[in-house]
Amino acid sequence: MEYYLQDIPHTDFLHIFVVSAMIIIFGMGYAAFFTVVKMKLLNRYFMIAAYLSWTIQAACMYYLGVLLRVEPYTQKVLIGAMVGYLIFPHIVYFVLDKVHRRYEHEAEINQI
Amino acid sequence: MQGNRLYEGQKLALKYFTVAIVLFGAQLLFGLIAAIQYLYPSFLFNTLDFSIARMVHINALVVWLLYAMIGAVYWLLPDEAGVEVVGVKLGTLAFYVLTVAVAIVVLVYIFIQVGPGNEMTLWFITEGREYIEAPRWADIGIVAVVLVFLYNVYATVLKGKHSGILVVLMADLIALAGLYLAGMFYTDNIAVDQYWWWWVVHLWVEATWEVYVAAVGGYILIKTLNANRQVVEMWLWIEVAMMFGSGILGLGHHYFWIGTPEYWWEIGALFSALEPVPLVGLFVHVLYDWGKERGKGNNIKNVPAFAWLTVETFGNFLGAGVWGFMHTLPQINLYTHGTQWPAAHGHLAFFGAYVAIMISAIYLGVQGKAGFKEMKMTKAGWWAISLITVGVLLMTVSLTLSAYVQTMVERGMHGATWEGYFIAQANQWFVQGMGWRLAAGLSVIAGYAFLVYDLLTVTKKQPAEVMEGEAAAQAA
Repeated sequence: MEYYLQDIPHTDFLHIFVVSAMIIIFGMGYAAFFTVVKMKLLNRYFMIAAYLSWTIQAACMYYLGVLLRVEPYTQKVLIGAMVGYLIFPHIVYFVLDKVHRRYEHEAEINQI
Repeated sequence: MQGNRLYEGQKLALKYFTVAIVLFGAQLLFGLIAAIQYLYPSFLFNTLDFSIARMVHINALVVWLLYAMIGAVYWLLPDEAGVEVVGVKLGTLAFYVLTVAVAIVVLVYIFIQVGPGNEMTLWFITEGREYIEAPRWADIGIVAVVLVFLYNVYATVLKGKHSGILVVLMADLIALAGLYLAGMFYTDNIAVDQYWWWWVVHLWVEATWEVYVAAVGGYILIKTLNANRQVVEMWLWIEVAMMFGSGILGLGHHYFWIGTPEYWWEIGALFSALEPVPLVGLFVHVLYDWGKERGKGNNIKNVPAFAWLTVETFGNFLGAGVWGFMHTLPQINLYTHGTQWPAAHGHLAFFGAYVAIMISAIYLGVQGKAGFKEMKMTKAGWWAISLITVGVLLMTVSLTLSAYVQTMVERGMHGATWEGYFIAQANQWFVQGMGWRLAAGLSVIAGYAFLVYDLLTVTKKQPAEVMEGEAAAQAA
């Protein structure tokens, strides 16, 4: 599989840098809202804000792909990465929950 | 640390920390000279040219971080293993050999600077390979010193307790030491040569160093916040899995112009953006656990170390994550490569990921030396962390603005020609950005002065309640 990068008009440069920063910032927003809600520091309705952040992030990623004139293979990789990022915090939370249950259970046994 | 008494390994760590802080100052000084030369090219022309000032600036960074890293391991090693460091005398000898070698290399860089393009120059002046310019004799010396360090770590852990932090460090240090060898040989083909050079530069910085700081960061969190060891170690293994994955696959984003298939660029870009995630996860998780128990006598045991660790976590995310992603995708990197974009990203990422955590580890050493169970932040400490952090952030933003102009004018409008290069360099927005970078550099230098002052005096300026608590503890 060989292909060559497309030229990017210089008028698109600013949009590219801003939108790629937005991807990370909304990505952080998704992770932050998800974490804070799971910590029960915020009402669970704020999970909507987490998924909204992910949606904006995915849209930014799509727009970045358009601006970069990416090839079909890269399009698939970018969308795959977004789906992976949607799932990732759920897996991490699951693992953390297991660890906490284990060591808190061990602590109770030690107290007895 | 046994009560107020330090292990011999920890005394050795303090020696490494001292040289590290001195070299940090050298790094900043030569960075300032290079920043001035960007605006006033005649400054020190033919005395200390820009290429030399930049080389010393970068090499001092790499070497002081290595000093601090070795020091941090010698600090935590006996504490975690529960036994004295095996081979402390050998380690001390290696320390003095390394320090003399570094001093000679720096003097050669400053006073001899360049040589003829032959083997003599490679062996005795500079290898001329960005970031790892040390001449070959020094390369061999570095390998010998690192082998002594590795022996000490392995022999000590095998003799003492095997904590998760130490096991991760043992695996990581093998990779850290071994990868340096990839930068010690030449090939006739420059593309192949660059390939192996990246194996050192990228895999050091984005794989082995990242795992290293996670292990040290975990230890600091245990010491400052009393973090649960199981939580720390779980995140460490996530870090290992992701970092070696993202670090190795992330290598692909450098593979321009050396003939690798283009899909490596995409893979490299995506995976390298994931690198800071586990460290932020570890920090947030531990902070949450600490917050749940807050107010029950679980004070922060070392406020300056914790503050610098906080800067590290978010500086790493911003520098390596946001700024990295903004210019690492191959379609962007094709235009930004070699402009001020990598400089903006590099300054914040190095500061965020490595500099801040090493300062944090040094504060832990200062606390241990004084034998304090708790250490508060002083005014000088606040000035140091504020001036340095704000200075580096301002520097990053200034370089970013210059980089944007440079990329658009030089690469976008003038097709990466020499003419485009000079037109972009003369653009008023580019020059103004460089001016702000210099101002930010002065702020960092001022912060460094406060930092040195604070490291020397922080234990004498602790509030009365800490001093009284220590006196009572000692009397008991």
